[in-house]
Amino acid sequence: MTPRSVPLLTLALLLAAPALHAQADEGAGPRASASAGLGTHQTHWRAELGTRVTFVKHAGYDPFSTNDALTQVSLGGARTLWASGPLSYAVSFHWDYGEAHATARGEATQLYAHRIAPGAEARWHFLPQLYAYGRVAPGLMSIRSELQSTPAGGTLETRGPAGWSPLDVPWVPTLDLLVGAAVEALGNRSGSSRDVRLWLLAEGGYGWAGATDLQLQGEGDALPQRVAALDLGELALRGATFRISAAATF
Amino acid sequence: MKRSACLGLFGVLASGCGGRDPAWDAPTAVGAPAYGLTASVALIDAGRDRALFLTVPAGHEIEARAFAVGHHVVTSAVSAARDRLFVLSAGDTPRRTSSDQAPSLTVIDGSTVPRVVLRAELGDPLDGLALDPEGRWAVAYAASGVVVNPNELVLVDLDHPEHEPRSVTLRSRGGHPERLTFTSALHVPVGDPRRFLIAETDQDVTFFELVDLDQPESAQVTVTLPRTSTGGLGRPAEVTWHDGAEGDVTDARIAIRLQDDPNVVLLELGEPRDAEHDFSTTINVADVGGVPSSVEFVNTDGGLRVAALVPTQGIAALIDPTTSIVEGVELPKGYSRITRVTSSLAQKPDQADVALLYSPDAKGVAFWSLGRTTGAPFRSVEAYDLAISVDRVLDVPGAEHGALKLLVNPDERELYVFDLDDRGSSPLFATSSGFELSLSPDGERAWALRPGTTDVASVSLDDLHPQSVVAERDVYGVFDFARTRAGHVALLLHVSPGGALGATVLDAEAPDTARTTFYPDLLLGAP
Repeated sequence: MTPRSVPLLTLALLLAAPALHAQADEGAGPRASASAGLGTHQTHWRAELGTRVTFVKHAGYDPFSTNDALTQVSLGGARTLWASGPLSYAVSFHWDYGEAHATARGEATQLYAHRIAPGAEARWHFLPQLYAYGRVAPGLMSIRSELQSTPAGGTLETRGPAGWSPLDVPWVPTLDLLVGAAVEALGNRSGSSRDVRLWLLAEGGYGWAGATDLQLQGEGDALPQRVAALDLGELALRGATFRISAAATF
Repeated sequence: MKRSACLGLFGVLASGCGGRDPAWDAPTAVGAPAYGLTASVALIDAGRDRALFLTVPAGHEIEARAFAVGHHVVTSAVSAARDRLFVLSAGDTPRRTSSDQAPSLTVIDGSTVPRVVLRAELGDPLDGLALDPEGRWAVAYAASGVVVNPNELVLVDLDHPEHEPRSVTLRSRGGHPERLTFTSALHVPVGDPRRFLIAETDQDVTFFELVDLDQPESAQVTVTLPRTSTGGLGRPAEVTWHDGAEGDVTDARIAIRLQDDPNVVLLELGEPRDAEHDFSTTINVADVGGVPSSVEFVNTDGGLRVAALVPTQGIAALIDPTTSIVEGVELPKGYSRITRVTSSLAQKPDQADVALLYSPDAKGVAFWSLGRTTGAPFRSVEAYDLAISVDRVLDVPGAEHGALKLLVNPDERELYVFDLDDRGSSPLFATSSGFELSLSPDGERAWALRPGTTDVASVSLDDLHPQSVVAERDVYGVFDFARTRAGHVALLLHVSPGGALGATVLDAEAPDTARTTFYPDLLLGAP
């Protein structure tokens, strides 16, 4: 599954949710409506799959994309740690992966970005099936940038600090500040039910990321000897960010 | 409604807001002009309306600086001293908003710290550019607007960049300028010596005084050329000039060679006929007995002469510009080109000139002494047999090797280094023909390149030691220039099929392919 296909899947789930919810209501019957309290609506494990779009205005992104959007597939998980009334707290973990492809004055370019971000989430339930939340998630992002250099006859790419990075790519710190809402699309109305529930989440905010130098280097038999680094300036994959996800709680 | 709102939101998210800087989509052009200056290499990046200057502060480290030039670059050129780049731009046509650019000329100093020294806005788009070899003037011409005046010249005074460019219309009799030539300072009977700009059209020659732009309209003299022997309009093929005898303010002259015509037109700038003018022109015509291929003023021990080579007759005609009397000198071969080399000699003759004669159609060269010198007869012509015919004679800059001339023909596998002082020639052999030869600005080295291949070689002019440099990518240009701090580097320019540029930098004084640095994608790295 590519990052670009995830929005389609997520959109399909989003559009189908009202119908699924209606079917779940019909199946729940009097037992569900009779239940009280938030229960597993609030305290649960959550696994989610979604798509994240970050609008990167930084000029360093221009060689790698014809627009400002960096689309990433997003996998995440969360666990409620504490709940009191409508308020609850959870810890989360997200991994986002995205690619961008373009040409820079005719030279093919690629960018690959992984972001890992543990976070802390505060939630407020308006209804058992609806809550709003805010999340703070510091993390790390690896960015590999490539350019197919026709004068050199090979690939130039960014490298990490020698002898440190296990993947030999640059890593930068990140911080996500997000607010969002979750609606339960499918699940038992009873908070005491341990059945799996299907949720839809939409969130937005600002995704900050540190800047990395775009020093594209190359070596190998296909390239000339002693290739100087191609300096494309700095890149900071930061900007307004949005994520829509489908989640299962249990 | 909800569904369409979701789709709209998703569309915005997926497509992204805003595009990127159009610079990343700017086209690159195969064969874009590149120039070697004394301390930098200039690349014209027309796709981004800029000129990129590459300097090397130390070692092999390239420093790139980009300078904006006018939109839509039309032509570019480097000054004779190889210190400045001139870029003529058409601007935005038609201009619709105040931000659209007017046609312009941008001049950038290409020294170790390149900088823009002049940006002059021009009226209409122009596509021709002529540069003064002495560095004072730049002339743009050949307009291409809705209504054009083909005889309009726009003069830019490079010594006074604060002056507005001045427009001058040639008083041609129906022609339009095809070639512009700047003279050196010529003495005239009244007033200070002055320089002239000579405009050759397809049917006449106009020359006018180059004066400060804040002075009144300059004087123009238009010379209608005599009709050819077939009755057609005479067309100028070459002009040359001479200031005449030292101290004689009435001896400046201009000679005009005509296409397919045995006549040489001579103009004398003599005493004025009225008080309004500083000089008058007297026109004479001399028939040299055949169609000349080249004319040049030369000093002989009999006085100033115009030497006209007539290869079909195997002669050099010496025309006395005062009397128009022609004297023929037989040549051993039908040489068609002449280069005066007097100033390159260590032992210069007292009065007379020395010239090198050659031809792309006849093998060898000849050394022509136009005066009486020790051990050489009056007007002697010494032929030197070479295995090649000579297409070009390259001057070696600087005093160190100034007596050396490089005799080249791109169709031949050999080239010769000719020493004017000892009249010796040294052959150098290449593996194949098609080499381009260039000289370092310090006159220490020559570089040979077969464009589009990895074959490059440098030749030290100290000992004529060749050093082959096999590049790792095909090379399209070799530029030898000074580092910012010390020494010289050579930059081998690589061009990919899409127009992306790369470069290999190596030490010019001791080229070693084991000590090079390769720079990829030069057009991407500069800000």
